[in-house]
Amino acid sequence: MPRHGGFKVAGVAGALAGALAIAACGATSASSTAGAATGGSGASKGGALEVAIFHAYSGPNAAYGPEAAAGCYPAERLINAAGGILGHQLACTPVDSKGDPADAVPAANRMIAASSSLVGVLGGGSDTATSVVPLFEQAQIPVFSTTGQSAFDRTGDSYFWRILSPDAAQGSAMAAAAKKLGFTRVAALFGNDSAAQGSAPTAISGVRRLGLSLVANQTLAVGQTSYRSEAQALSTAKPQAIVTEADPQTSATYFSELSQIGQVPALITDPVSQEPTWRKAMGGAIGTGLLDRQDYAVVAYSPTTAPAYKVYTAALLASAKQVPQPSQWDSDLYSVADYDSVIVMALAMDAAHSTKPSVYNGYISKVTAPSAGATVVHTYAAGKAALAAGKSIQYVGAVGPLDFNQWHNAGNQFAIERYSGGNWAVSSVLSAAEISAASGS
Amino acid sequence: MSAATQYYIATILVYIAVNAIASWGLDLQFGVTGVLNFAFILFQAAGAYTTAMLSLGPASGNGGFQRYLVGVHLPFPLPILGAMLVGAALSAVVGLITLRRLRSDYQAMVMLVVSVVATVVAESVLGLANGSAGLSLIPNPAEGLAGLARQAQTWVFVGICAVCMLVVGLLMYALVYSPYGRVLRGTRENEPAIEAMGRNATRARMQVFVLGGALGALSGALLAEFIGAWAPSDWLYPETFVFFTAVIVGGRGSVSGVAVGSALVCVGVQQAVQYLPIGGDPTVLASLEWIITGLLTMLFLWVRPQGLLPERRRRFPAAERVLAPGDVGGAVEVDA
Repeated sequence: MPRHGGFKVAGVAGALAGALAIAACGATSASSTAGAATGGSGASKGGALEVAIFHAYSGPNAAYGPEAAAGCYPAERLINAAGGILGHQLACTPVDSKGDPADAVPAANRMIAASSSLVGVLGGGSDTATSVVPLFEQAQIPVFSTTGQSAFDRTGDSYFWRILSPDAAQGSAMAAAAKKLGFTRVAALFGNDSAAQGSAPTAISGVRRLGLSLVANQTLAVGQTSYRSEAQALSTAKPQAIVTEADPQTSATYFSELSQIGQVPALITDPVSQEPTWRKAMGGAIGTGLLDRQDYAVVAYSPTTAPAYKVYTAALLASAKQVPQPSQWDSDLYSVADYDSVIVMALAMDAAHSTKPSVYNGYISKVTAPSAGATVVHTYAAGKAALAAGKSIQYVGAVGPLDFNQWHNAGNQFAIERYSGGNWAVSSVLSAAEISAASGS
Repeated sequence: MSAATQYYIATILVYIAVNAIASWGLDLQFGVTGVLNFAFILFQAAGAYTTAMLSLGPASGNGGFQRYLVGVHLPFPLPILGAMLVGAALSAVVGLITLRRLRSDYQAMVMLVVSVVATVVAESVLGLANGSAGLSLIPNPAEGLAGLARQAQTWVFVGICAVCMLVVGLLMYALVYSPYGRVLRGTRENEPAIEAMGRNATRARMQVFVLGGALGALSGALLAEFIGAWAPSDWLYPETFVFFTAVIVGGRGSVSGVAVGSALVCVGVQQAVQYLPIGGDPTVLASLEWIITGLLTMLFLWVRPQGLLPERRRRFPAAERVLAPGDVGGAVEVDA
């Protein structure tokens, strides 16, 4: 007879079934409370509406979650202070995507099934967007993504929205910046991670197209303990500027070794260089003084004097309870974009007179598009008041105007920013012609 | 039951099936035969990438936003069969390098290195499988079924996974509890004895290594088709240890035990943690999953090394023999 060491097969199977049933029931009971989750019923009267921060909080991209949270919580604060949306308070809910598709898919499905008041999603970064955006599309829940992947440049997903320009445009802008700054000998240095590889091809092709000399082109395997041979090769090539994007650790390791070998040339970077973790790591590697002198960040043009930006930073600094050390995010473009995303969702709900995602999704472009007679607003409170007065509105956010095209992509202008005296300041704005020359379009 | 809840349950069922198939593949190698394959996740990845390359069509499609080898569009189930073949072939190559000449502890070290190197290669060689961004828009075979709603298509895919799990499960029973299975267990328990009986232990290890690799590839192929994407972040080397924990918790060499262990560890822990009332801090939840997985491994190795459902051993009546004084006879226990 078979022996099972005192354990009964039926007992174990029962325990397993029970455990899984509890998990399933957790989802079922939550979703059944307010009816069908698919199609997003919004919330019951007076109940809080949820916006999920669906990003990586663990794994290699663990910075994505806190970065998005720094945009969501200030928006939550301002929306609730203005009386909420159609009588509902708003709540940001962090959900860990873990940064990989295999973990993100069940996490997204669980989130959709378990939350009856989910009205919108911030997330689906470059690490998971292609696998989870279709799930939100199926559930008819608007998702504002910061992914730069070109797969979404002409997406047919009607619930997908992207405020920031795709990586390809970012790469072209970096090449255009090198030309504008007068550099003729340029090196390309990108990590082999998905985020960096999004902008690398257009940055490299842009450098060539603009007639600059590409003296070195290196792709770094991220997370290595040394890049001495690569740094030596780059130093030998004597570039005047390096067009670069890599994660904080990789950048710090590389440039620490480069600074030991020779001089660190000008760095033409992207919004990653405005992230506190990157600046901290690089400052430690080559010194903050040298970093500030050499770094030219090419970012979406976001005038820091803009009214919406001032409102955002004030709300961010007041959100220290939910956002540790909030000031570190005040120049982070992704955080600013996520703030605008939540405000846009809220205004669209007001305009639609509905918190139902499948209804208000159609109003997102209506509250952001420029139109004759529309009242330009920079805050949720102003937009809500204008809508209540029966006016049409155009929300101009902290990242600037948000004019979505037919594929729900809102393009940006780009600017070169320098860090000085604890703040980022626009050094010069790149014209559309300059970027077109780099992209060839 | 809402559509969203149905979809969530379908996801759980697919993950249970996929992880059971993968865990059986590892159990065949580690549990039954004693091969410490710390590169197991590599074969799951090989299956996922292969099925993507055999179903996505040319790389120039979809705007050419991703780069990869091959790029053909084969009908279901050819991409899955192709994935299994590639998984088996890759296993044969790795097995030929590691299994013939190295002692088991060195085999384990080499496997771990192979897994790490493979990830770095996949991330660095962009033309291989689109680098770190990985491959996306992988077609789900059920989506090609005309006239079915999306929800029904999902359940069709659940059915495909269930059939695969059933077939692999029956294969495992047939294999493990056959005379050949005894050779495999003999290889694990006492290799010199097996060799003395005229069996080739190295060949047996090689055979299960290839078969286990094919099963790993099958699980990867199904998973990639379900989630529609596959990237290096999905198959970092620690993922292998989740499957090891599943085998240890369920019971090494026990087909039913490993299925239970897989469902509990690979799916149950991940889902159950989400319902813990610890404030919803996502960072803590992610850490907790790994902590629980590690603790389960240690706990079972310490307290119940045979697992929840131990490997079955058959007992035969004692053969006729000459009883020594004081010998009361009884039964002898042998492997099934």
